[in-house]
Amino acid sequence: MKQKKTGQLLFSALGALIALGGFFLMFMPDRTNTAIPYIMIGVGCGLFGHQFGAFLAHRAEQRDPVMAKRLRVEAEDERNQEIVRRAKAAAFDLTAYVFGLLCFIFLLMGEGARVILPLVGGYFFLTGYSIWQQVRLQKKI
Amino acid sequence: MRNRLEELRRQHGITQEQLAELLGVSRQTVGSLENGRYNPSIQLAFRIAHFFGRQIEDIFLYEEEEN
Repeated sequence: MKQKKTGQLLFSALGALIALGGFFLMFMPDRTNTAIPYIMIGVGCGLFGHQFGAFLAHRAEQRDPVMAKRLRVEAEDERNQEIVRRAKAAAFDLTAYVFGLLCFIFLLMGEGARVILPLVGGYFFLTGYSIWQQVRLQKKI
Repeated sequence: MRNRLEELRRQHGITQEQLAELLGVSRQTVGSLENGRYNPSIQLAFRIAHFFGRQIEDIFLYEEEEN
């Protein structure tokens, strides 16, 4: 447990360093690549938030075992899991409309294939992944 | 699907909160089960039946759906 907490703190620090590095690069006067600082900020903040959140959750669990048990029951509760599954499925069904609308908006904005094709590719990838999951689950369940 | 969960729980003199804790589910799940808004998995149905010392079909009342 202690090793896990140390790992979480180390990765939190690493995430914070990456994000700070990104901020530093963002304000450098002669930078050639415009995307790298933003990617560093995104990855750094994500890493920091995830790891530090896990660290705080572990600490809260140790300080209040009753609350920890309640949270565990809520997370493992089959109705809650069913609600999460249904919500995710409903959100996935929306992606077709969202991608379609985005394509339409980009077309109206005069964007060409450079923008439209990755969007269509992303949509096909999600659809393909969904079909692959269905085939996998048909065999598994 | 109708069920006799609320009736049995009251007979045992326990609250939704206590039943939820004994079954390892949330209080909201017990409430939804009692209202018939949620049908339990077979595992949870067995846990409930085991807890009350009954058969599943004594608690959960299957009804043929009319077409």
